[in-house]
Amino acid sequence: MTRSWLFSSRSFPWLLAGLFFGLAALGLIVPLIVGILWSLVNPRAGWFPPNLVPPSLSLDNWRAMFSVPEIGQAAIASFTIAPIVTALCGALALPTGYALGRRPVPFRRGIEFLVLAPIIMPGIVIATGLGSMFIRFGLAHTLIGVILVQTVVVLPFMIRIVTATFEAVPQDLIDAARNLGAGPLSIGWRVLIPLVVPGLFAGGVFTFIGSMEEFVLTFIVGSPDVRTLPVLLFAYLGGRSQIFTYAAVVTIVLLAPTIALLFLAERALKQEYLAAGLGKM
Amino acid sequence: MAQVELRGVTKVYGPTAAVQDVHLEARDGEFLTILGPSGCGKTTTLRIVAGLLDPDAGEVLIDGQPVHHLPAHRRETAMVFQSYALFPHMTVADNVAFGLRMRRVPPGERHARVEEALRMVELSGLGDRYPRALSGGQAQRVAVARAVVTRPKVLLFDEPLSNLDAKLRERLRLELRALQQRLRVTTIYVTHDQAEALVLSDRIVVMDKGRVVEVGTPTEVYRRPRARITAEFLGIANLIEATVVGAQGDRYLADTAVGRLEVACADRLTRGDAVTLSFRPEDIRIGQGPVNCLSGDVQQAAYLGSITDYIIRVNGVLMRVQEPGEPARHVGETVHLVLPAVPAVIREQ
Amino acid sequence: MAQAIPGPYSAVDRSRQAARHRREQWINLLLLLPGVGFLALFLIVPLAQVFLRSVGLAIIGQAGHFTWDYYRQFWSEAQYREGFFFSLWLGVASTVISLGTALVFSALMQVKFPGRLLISVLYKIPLVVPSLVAAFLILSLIAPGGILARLVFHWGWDWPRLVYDRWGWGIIFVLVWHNVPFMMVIISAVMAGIPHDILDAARNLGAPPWAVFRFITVPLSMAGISAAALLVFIQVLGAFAVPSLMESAYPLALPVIMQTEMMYHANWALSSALGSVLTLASALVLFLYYRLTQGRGAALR
Repeated sequence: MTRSWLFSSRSFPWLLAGLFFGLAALGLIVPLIVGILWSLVNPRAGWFPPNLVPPSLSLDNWRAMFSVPEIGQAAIASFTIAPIVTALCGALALPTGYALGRRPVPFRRGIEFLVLAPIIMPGIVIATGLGSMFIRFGLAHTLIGVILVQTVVVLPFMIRIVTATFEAVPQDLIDAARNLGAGPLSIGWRVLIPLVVPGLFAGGVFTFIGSMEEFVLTFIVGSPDVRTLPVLLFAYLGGRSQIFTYAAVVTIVLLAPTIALLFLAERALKQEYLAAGLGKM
Repeated sequence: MAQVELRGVTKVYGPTAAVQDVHLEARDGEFLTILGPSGCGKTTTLRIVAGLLDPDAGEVLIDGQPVHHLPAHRRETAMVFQSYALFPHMTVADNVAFGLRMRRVPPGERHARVEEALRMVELSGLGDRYPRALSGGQAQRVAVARAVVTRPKVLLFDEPLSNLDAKLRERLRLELRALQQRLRVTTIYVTHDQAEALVLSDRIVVMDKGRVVEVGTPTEVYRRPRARITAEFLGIANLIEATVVGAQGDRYLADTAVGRLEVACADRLTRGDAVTLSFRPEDIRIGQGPVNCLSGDVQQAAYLGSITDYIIRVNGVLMRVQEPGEPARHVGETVHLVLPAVPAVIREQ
Repeated sequence: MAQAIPGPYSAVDRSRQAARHRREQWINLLLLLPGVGFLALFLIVPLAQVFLRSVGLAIIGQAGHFTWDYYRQFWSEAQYREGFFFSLWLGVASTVISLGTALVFSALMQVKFPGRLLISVLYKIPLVVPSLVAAFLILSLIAPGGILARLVFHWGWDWPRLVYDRWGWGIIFVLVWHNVPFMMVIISAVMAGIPHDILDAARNLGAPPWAVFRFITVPLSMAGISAAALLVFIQVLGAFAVPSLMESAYPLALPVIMQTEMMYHANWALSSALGSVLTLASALVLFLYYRLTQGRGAALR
């Protein structure tokens, strides 16, 4: 519709396309391919310089996923914790979002700042504080501890998105419903909830992804007893031994669902939710 | 000042043509209005002149030079938008100065010209305000000042008054006209408000469904529309199908649903011609008369302050008649109507 | 007939008002308690503990007394001080590079080009890639034994040292890789929210595309741009995972030092002091952000 007014040259859009796809290839596709290759490296042959491709491929590393207990355990931990954290965030955020989004609330600025705080504070500091607090209460190294700790840092996003969603419900709709005879419960069930579901869904996706990827707090509070995939990955990448092959397997197990979720969210969500959740402070 | 010409301009969106084969000419210094209902393509046409849209076919010429390959920022047109589109993060003065900054006018001259433009729209002294602190009328004037300060070859208006209340609209449109006459800038003005078109224009272009229907002066298009849509869109029209059955003296005789009428027409008509006659409500007189006298029942009488608007049924045809003053006829009353012998005769199919 | 304006409320109305007000407040409390209460408990309490511990109080297992010693230790010992500056450097460098890149990319994304839709989904992938994974993937790419090194070796060239280096360029690269999409999401959303009319008006008044960007788009996107920059800076300041994996032996980023002190030396007090320094630095940046946006944002509302 609007012309590509940048240059009189008609080829500019194609140059742009080339630039972006080139960058995507180099910055995204190539690393992912390399990662996948690492997961397929034959452990007996290894993959050392100067080989550009692994000399021989095998599925041994993937089989190890089942034979090496820690990988399986970490996967189970991650995929158990994430839904629970998401559900918990949803339950906590719903009343909060409603109050902040539709009611005149005292100390609003203070509350908004509190909700913002976990996002703007250095994660390591929260981890330090919670770590010692949980040790005192015996929650350190437990599943519940990890769940609680992850919730602290993903809850703000859920609250912000749900609040924005509630705010966006036009008062006219509620007034019309009331005028037509609906009581507060009816309004909640038939008007508010359906309108809020997309926001809840968006928040849920973010929360799930956030929980799957959360590292610092889980690391400090959970390890070595409770290890999620990111924590395991850290062990394979740092420290004394670097096991790139296992790291690649864990990476793929971690990335596949999250990227899939991303595509799902892209199709189902509008930009407003992202911006609302993150953009305005 | 410049002459603007569109030749065969077409713009297509998917299966629909927003603008179809438009030929248009705005003469040097003329105030040309493009008038039509929503969706008729008038705004699209304007944006093509401004360079904000690319036509799919056709040419745009300014002073005889083709400009349709020039990007928007290199054409010497200036547009006043319906939403005013003032830059919210700049003061009024900075808004007005923007075009001059883009043309690298030195600061001293820039300042002087901004002052002059604000004076022209009677907003001197408001230079330091921000757009959010302006009323609708003030914002509109800033938009006008911002456009005229650049001394464009062509001034474009996209329904600039439609967001204002009726009284303000009436006042501002006269001011706009006065401004244009003082500056003598070729102006193309888009609106759906026929009163505006009639008041402001040197000539009116009527558009419908992406095509130019008719071009003429305000008097011509109001009194002697050549197309049905023109008659319907400009004011109220009683449109009556007629068949020419003969001639009597210097008038034609036509058979219609309301009876046989005598009609004077400048064009030559022959027996059997099918035409549409258009009668304006204010031209129909309630009373008796020697020629074209009909009788009908009053269905409705609406008091509008200065006039009363009647709907009168004649032989099953509903006709609208307007009389000055308060309602003198009641609903249900049978009255006589005299139709003028000089209606508009529309000959399109 | 117009009615007379009613006089002051009667006593009955006032008490009913008060009762209604109280009930509203109870409802507010009930609604806010789960979410806000959760955060208050699990955020404020630990934070308070961190601050207390940094001045020598509330230490596990021993009675403490108020002291600035730990802060002094932070400032006087080179490894801690330089660790702080190193974290600051990482923050500034990552933020500036990410912002510049994200601005340009966001602007380019406003132009229609073939495949834009696909790119608009692809570029968001790094958002869901944890920084750890990003570190791994990019390590395998640019590390001394990585793919690119092997590639250029194949052609007889040397690969520069990009990771485990003193300035942390590898770390910065990973953080930029991770944060540019994040910034782009925010900035693109804000840019898309600028009314088209305003951009058209600027073009109509003679502004070439780069001028539209500089004088209209960027100023009107400032809210989103500052928010993005703020979030990235603070996040990088407190980043632990990536620096831990990719840094040289010296200097170490402050969060890494904190973790070592905490988990291996059980030096909770010092670790808390270091954490407080990070938090204060973040708070300062936040404060500056609010000052900046108050002035600007007023014009836009």
